[in-house]
Amino acid sequence: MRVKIKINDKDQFIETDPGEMLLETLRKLDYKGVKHACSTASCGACSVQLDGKPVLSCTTFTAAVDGHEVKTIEGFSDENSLSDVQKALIDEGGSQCGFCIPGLVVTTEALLSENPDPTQQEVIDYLKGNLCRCTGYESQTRAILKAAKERRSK
Amino acid sequence: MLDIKEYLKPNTVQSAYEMGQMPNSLYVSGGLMVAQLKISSVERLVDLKGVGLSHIEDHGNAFKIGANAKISDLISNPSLNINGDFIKIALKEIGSTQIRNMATLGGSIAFKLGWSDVITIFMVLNSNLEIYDGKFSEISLETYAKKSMKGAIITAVEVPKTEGIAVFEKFAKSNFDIATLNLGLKIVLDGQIVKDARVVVGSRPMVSQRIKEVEEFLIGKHIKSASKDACDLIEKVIQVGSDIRASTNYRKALSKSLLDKALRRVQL
Ligand SMILES: Cc1cc2nc3c(=O)[nH]c(=O)nc-3n(C[C@H](O)[C@H](O)[C@H](O)COP(=O)(O)OP(=O)(O)OC[C@H]3O[C@@H](n4cnc5c(N)ncnc54)[C@H](O)[C@@H]3O)c2cc1C
Ligand code: FES
Ligand code: FES
Repeated sequence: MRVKIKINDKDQFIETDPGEMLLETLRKLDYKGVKHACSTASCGACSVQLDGKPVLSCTTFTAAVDGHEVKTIEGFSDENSLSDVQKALIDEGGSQCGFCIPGLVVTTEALLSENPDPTQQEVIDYLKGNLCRCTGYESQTRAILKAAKERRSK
Repeated sequence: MLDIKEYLKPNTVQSAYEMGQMPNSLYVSGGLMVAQLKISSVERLVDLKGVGLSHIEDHGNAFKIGANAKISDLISNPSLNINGDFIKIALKEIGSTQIRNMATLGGSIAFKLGWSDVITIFMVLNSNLEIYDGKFSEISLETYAKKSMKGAIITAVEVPKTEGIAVFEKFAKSNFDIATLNLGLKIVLDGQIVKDARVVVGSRPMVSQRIKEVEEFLIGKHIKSASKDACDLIEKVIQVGSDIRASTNYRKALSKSLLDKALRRVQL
């Protein structure tokens, strides 16, 4: 079946199987920043924004997204340069192997557009579905609070 | 993964129901659970999102919530105040931000998951479901949870506005895990005397159930002096089972401590 999805501000017409998941579709289209890990809605590595809200692409049917807007990690950095959130994650030691980072950044962007001045607890609550096996979360939380503060001061 | 042949998008409840009656069809709303099914016989998914039903309406004595409303829509809706902030605080215990953005109210109830927090939360509020199975009808969530209604579509959930204080308790092994046991309590007090009580326990591991013996025991009693005996009673009468998360005895002990915590919270 044929679907139309706006991906990172660009309309795309895509041939897809009726049972295909958005994660698979995006990776086939070369959005490789969207990571494939648990496939059971449990880790957050495959997070993308659907109409501005973070969802899990591993358990979203591509057919259900027809006519909607998807934003992947590739849509958050300008011209191959890192975004402020990505820079803060590196500066604070919030990225080690890096596998969880695309999903984390996409979810963080949604948090900061809903709530530009989150408390530490609000960051923890919002991101509890983005698991990281390396960092222990302290440095990631610190980085997000720092990026939020810098964004507010601009 | 499902190996389906067709993904249908009806735009009325009636046409969705007709498509749902075709052999090997399955409804899908949020899709979180359907995406993970491994049933080779399913050939056709009938997506319910195109039929609308994402409204949240204040009908004076009740709220009517469309089955396709997402859990996050309920949390962010400014007018949906049921027993204070109860519903919003309780629903935040569900999954993660992403899961709450995907899971619909109808899909969360229709799957009748034993560990569903959604069913416990809405059952303690005495909710009714609007169902379409060729015609529209109403059924209490309590009855729906016990009954097989294959092929019927949940179209809305009606939550009566009632007096009282409601609280929700969930015990899980991490703050992103599903419940080992969950408990909802709603109490109406006349001074310190319990005028009405509703106790619902889920993840027993069977589907949520009212614990009527404890409700009846509490009614007419002084809440402070009856609390200890009510907690002893729930441990004795509750029907629970063993599974990978907990044994029968562990769940019985948990029901006692969750009720104790809930009774203390309604007295704050
Ligand atoms: C990792 C993970 C963690 C979770 N954590 C929690 C938790 O902590 N607490 C909790 O309560 N839940 C939790 N859930 C479950 C979740 O909240 C929903 O119950 C689940 O996603 C189903 O909602 P859905 O809209 O995605 O339904 P779908 O997956 O679309 O459908 C579920 C079932 O209901 C049927 N169906 C869907 N809509 C209707 C309708 N309107 N009428 C009739 N039948 C219908 C479908 O055919 C299917 O059988 C979790 C789920 C996952 C994957
Ligand atoms: S791959 Fe989607 S949540 Fe883990
Ligand atoms: S940095 Fe390795 S999983 Fe998060």
